[in-house]
Amino acid sequence: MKKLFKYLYIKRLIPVFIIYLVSLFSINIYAQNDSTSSKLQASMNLSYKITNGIKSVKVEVTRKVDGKFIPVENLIVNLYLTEIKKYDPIVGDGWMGNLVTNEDGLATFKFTDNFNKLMSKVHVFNFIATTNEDLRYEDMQEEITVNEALINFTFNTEDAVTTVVAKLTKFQDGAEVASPETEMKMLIKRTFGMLPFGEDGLTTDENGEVSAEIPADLPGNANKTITVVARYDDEENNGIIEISKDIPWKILPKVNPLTRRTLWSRGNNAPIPLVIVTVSLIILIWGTICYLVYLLFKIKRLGKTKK
Amino acid sequence: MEDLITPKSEKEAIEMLNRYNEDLLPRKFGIAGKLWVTVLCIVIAIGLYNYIQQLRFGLKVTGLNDTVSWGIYISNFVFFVAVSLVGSLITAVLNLLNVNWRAPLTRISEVIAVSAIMFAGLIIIVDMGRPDRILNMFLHGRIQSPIVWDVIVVMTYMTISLLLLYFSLLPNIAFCRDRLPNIPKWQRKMYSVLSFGWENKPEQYEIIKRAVKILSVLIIPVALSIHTVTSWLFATTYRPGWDSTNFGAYFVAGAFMVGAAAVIAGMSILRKFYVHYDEYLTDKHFDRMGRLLVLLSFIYLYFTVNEYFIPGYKMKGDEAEHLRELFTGHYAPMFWSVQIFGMFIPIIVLLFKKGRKPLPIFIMAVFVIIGAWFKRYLIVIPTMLHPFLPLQQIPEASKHYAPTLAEWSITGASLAGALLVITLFVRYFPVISIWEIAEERGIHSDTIYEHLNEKV
Amino acid sequence: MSQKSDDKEKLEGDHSGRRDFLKFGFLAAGLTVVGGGLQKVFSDNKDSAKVESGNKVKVLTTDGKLVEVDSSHLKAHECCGASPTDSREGIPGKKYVMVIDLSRCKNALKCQKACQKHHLLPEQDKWLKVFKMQDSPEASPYWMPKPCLHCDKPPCVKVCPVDATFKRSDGLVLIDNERCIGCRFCMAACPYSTRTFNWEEPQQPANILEMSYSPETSVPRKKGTVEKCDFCPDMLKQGNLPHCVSACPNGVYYFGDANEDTVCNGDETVRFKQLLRDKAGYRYMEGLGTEPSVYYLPAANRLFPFEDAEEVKEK
Repeated sequence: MKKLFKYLYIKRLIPVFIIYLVSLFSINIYAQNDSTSSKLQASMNLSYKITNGIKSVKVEVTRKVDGKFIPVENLIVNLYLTEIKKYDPIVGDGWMGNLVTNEDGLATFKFTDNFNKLMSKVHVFNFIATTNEDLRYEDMQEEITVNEALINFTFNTEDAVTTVVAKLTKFQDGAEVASPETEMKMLIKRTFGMLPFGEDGLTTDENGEVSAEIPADLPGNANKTITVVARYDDEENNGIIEISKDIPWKILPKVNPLTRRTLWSRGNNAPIPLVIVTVSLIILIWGTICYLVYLLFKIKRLGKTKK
Repeated sequence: MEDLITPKSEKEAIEMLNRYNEDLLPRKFGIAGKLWVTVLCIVIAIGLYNYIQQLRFGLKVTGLNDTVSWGIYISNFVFFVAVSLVGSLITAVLNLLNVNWRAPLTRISEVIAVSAIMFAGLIIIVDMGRPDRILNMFLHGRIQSPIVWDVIVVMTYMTISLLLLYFSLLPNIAFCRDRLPNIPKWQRKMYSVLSFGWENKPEQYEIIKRAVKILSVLIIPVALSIHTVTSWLFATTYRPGWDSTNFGAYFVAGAFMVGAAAVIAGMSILRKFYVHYDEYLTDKHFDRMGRLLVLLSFIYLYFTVNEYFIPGYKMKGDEAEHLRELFTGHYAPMFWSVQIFGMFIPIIVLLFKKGRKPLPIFIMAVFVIIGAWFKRYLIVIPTMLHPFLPLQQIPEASKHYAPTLAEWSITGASLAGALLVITLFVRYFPVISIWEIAEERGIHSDTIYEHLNEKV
Repeated sequence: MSQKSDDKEKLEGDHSGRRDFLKFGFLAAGLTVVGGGLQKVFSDNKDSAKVESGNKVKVLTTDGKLVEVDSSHLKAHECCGASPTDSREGIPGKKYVMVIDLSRCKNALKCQKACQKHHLLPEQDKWLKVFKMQDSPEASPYWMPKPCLHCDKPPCVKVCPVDATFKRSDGLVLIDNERCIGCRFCMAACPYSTRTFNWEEPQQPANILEMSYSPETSVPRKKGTVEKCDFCPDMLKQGNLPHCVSACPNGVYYFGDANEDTVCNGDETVRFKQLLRDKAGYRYMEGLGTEPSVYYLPAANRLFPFEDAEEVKEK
């Protein structure tokens, strides 16, 4: 009974809600027509990235104020694949979705395995990002075409020296071809950034391979691994391709235990000699004080006995 | 003392005892006394009002800032701790040395000590940003912190001082209970409770004597440690001017000196306002205390030279800036006034026998006390103004320190409070220990035990 | 707000029932939403791909439920401060260090601005100061940024009577302002003029005041207590650099984990010990034995000629 009532109540509310939405919509259009001239200009930038096989498109929206670029936040960005149209569930292209830029002016679209499955035969992507009907900014459209590249990655350890070999291939006419004389980076993932290793300006050989030695004295992760990243960066043609792997590693991060008893430890971790000295002094002196208080009561007791 | 009139017969002894009783009983204040208490109460009331303002608005009402985060509250605290050392000096040291003129001075010094240490404890709470969290000291105390040591020794010293005062006071409280005529009911009730069953029995006297002996030994290390630990609040930091291994001894020496001066000042005032007190606080006492003060001043001078001459000889970078400020800079007038009026002039004057007469010695004692207060100002504030890093990127107000009126009035109230405690004590209790005087003057113990509390 | 509603309506026409909204209404008051108002399914089946940083954060809702929210949706110090008790444990396995390259500093003060902004500090309280230093009369002056040095043998922690300021296993020295009694001994003990005191009731936005206090965010600030630079533990927890480091336009600040021997200034990532070796790194007043976690690289081969903007203005 209660449920039914609730249901009816909600039903009654729906038309109200729709009217509310429509009214917002119309106000929006009205506002737009009225203020076209006063809208701000912003610029949009697209970049493509593959991290461990996960594809993503990053949209960055900025605005130039006094010669500086400042991020544009809370802007809705629509992303399309191939062309601006509705989502095509059979081919998998068209409207991909929309996102709102964050406080850094960034919005990142990540594609799932299903997308990869659907697009397994496709190696050239054309992404289009648009904004429209924003109250503050003029409409924008930006596109990026990327040709897919791949990194394969092996390592071997000999005489305590671990060498990482990464091979870069690009797709040409649907076939994977090694990419020689291309600059790549070998990195180690750290808490706040990527630490480069190997020679400066690592370039692939004729097989499309680079190799670099991990510095032998570098501490790894706590779980006896070290995370190595191979990166190829060609934003205009291939986007950023990154692949990372946890390699077994013997050198653990040195951990400093803070349990020692020191002067700067917590109260319950005071140095033992200090505790012994203070406690014995307190016992000694307050013990005597207790004895004196006892004497005081002895005086009182003596006062009660008759002479 | 040499000229003590030892009683020849028991009858004479009883007469003497009765005379002491007549002379030394607490009595009602005259106009001057009432006025004095009123003035103190007004000063305290103003200070209390300002402290309530400080509780409401925070330490903003003071002149303190991020550079000078410790100001006159702390220097005043150090002053109180210094003064409180006198209790142990007169009672314990003179007692153990068996000095035969100490009896009239012991209680004065003990009262000064107790009130000073009480207000030392209070003023340190005033300095706290969060007095509402004072229990954290006990809930989360860290034994590594010198402040915790200080809290422990201040509480211990306060307890020991109170016991010392109380034990020797017992016969006199009972005496007031039994013999003070025409007193209000509450007053008699107070005496009755405080006398703690005292019946003037020889066994009770024996216990007092034993307790005082124990306390005299116990109070010396505690008194020394209270002042040493207070100096460590400064000496455990790295700051130029505080980073000194001389500090503990220097503070103790300074404390003995100002304590002795405080007793002299107290003696002078009592002698001025109470008839017959000159019979007990004789010129000889002033002369002896004068000599003691000179001795203590010389010791202090010795430590002062160590404290300033050696760093001044080296003029180490950060230290040099601080020392220059004291010797020739902004604080030079205060620094040299303190040295000259608070130390050199008293030493010179008191070296002469005429200088140790009651009036000049009183003036010198006041010089020493005022000098000692400002000396502690000079220990705390100039150092705070000279951190290692330059005074940059801070508001202009944080480059100086000037105590505000509120701060002065709260500090003044604490001094007035200490004086009020002493005053009220003098009003309600015999400030010269009658039975100890009698004993010192050769009246046999048995006579004292038998006749001291006899109703007239 | 109206734009979002519009979009919602349009979307309903296209892919009704396929959206995955993040609902923010239930978040505790004061939490601010960053990015991602609307989400969209990318694949052709029911799987949904949320655009998130991957860090999950537990947040208590107004009705007392604990929900998991992606950390990218919450502003740092509004979500990541642990309780005063939990704050006493460091981030496991870390030992944070900072290296300040004096040769790159031109007193742009961007670090300070970011610090003031993120810690809601008023003009007069500066946790990070940039000092104009000159080591000898003949030497050229230089700028020396100075945060809290987070000493390994911190004199401030030594003297604290109530355990209010403490050293963590990850090297951070923090303050519990619900414990602090305001004795200011730590301010006297610190040789580096690091600590500031709340002499009066601090002015703070209402939404900050409603938050529960955390030593890791140092907010809400409290009257009568001591505070100082905290190395932004709320940022560190999320794997982000402290605000001063990321705000510096010249890469003056390197920050990192000494246990993994790496520091990063936002642009480049280098090995910590090697950086100190190569550029003769030192610690300020090493002789005091406080063992700061902050190292300096000497102001040699500078990127910018020394210029004191105030002096230029005066001329």
